[in-house]
Amino acid sequence: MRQALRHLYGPIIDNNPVTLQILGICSALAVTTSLSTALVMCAALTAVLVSGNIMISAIRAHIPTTIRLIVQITIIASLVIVTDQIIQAFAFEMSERLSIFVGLIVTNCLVLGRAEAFAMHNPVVPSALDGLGNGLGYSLILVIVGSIRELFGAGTLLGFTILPTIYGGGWFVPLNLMMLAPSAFFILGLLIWTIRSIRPVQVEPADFEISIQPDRRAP
Amino acid sequence: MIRGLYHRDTVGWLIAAAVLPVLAATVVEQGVPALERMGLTLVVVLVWQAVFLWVRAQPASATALVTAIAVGVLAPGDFAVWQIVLAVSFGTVIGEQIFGGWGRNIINVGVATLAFLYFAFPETLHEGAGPLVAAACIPGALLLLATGILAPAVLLASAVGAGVVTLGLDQNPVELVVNGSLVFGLVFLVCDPVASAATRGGRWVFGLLAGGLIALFAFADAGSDVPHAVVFAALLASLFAPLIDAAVIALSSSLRRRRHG
Repeated sequence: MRQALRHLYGPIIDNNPVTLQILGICSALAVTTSLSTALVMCAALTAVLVSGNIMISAIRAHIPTTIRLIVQITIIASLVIVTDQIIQAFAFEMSERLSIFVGLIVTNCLVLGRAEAFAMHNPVVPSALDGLGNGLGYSLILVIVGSIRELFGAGTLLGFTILPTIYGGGWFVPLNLMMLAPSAFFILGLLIWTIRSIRPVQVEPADFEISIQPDRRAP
Repeated sequence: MIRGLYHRDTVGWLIAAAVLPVLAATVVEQGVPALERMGLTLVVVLVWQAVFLWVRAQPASATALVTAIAVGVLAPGDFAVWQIVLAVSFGTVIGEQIFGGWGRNIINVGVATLAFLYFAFPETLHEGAGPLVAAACIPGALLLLATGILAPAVLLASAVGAGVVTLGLDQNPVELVVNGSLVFGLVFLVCDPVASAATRGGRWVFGLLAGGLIALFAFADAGSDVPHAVVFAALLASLFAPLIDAAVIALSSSLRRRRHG
C-alpha cells in the first residue's frame, strides 16, 4: 500500500515532472496568463494522463514492442480529442481562450513519457496512481505560476479583483511583464532554484568546472 | 586583463571612475529626482552583492555605480520606490549574480534592469537625456580607450552601423550624436567589456549589429524612443555576442588548419 502511494505523492515535489524533469514547459508557459485557464489545462492533462496510463497499462502485454509508440500515441490522441470536445461542449469560452493548447496535449512530453516509462511496465492500479501523481505535480506548478502571473499582471485571481488596479481607480500598477511569456520562464526558474536549494539532491552535476588559478589575484 | 595590475577590481574601478562625469551631468540636467533614483539603485545593487558575497563568496564589484547611473540617465520617468527596487533586484540577480558575479555575466546589469522597467511598467514615459550628458561621456570614453578596457573596434563599428542605418532610413545622424541617452548607452552599455564580443573580428560584427539595431529601433518604430532603442539594441546584441565569438573562433581555427595542414 505504501509502495503504491509512493507513485502518487512521489511526482508531486520529489520527482516533479515540470521542475525536475523539465517536461511540459511549453504549455506551462502558454496557459498560465490566468489561473482559470491554468486550472482547466491541469484538469484536461490530468484526465488524459490517468486514462491514458490505465488503457496502455491494461493492454501492455498485447502491444508489439516495434509499434508501441504508434499505439501509445493513437490512444493518447483519441483521449485528447475527447477531452477537447468535452471542453468545447461545456465551456466554449474557455476552449476559445485555451485555443490549440488542449489539442497540443498530444505532443506534451509528459504524457508519452509516463506511458512509455511507467505504464508499459506496471499493472493498472500503480499506473493510474502514477498518472494522477504526475498530473497533480504538473498542476501544482501551473497553479503557482498562474496565480503569480494573474495576481501581479492583472490584480485578479480567477477573475475576482484582489489588488485594485489604477485602471479601475485603485492603487496597484499591474506588472505588464507578467502577461508576457518571459515572465513564466523567470517564475519557473526561480521556483526550480528554490526547490533545489531546499532539496540539493535534485541539483544536476555541473557541465563545466571553473578552474581557479592559485597565483591569480581577485577571482 | 588578468596579469599584473589589470585584474578584475582595477577594471571595475576604472569603469566606475569613467562614469562619474555622467553622474554630475545627469544631476545638473535632471535635478534631485535623478540623484534619488541613482542612490536607491546603488543601495539595492550593493545589498544584493553583499547577499551573494555572504552566501556564495562572490566578490562584489564597483560596476554597481554604472548600473545606478544607467538607471539615472535612461529611466527618467516617475517611478515608485518599489518599482525601482523590483527592477534593480531582477536585473542584478538574474542578469549577473546567478552567473557568478560581474565578469561572468552575459548581459549588462543596467540593460537587464532597464529592460525590466520598460516592459513591466510601459505606462511610465521617458525622455532622452540632452547634449550635456553626451559631452560628459567623452572623458570617460577616452579614459577607457586609453586603458584598453573599451575596445575601439566596438565603438567605431557601432558608430558606423548606426550612421549607415540612419542614412539608409533617410534621417539625420546629428540627432543621434547630441542625444545623451544614446551616447551613454553606446559607451557604457553596448561597449561593456564583459557583455560585448571579445574576438578581433567579432568586435566589428558585434558593433555593426548593435549600432544598426539602435538606429533601426530609434527611427523605424515610431512608438519607440531613444532610451528604449539603445537598451533593447544592447540587450539583443549582447545575447548574440557569444555566438559571434564562437563563429569567429571556429572560422579562424579552420583557416589556420587549412593554411598549416
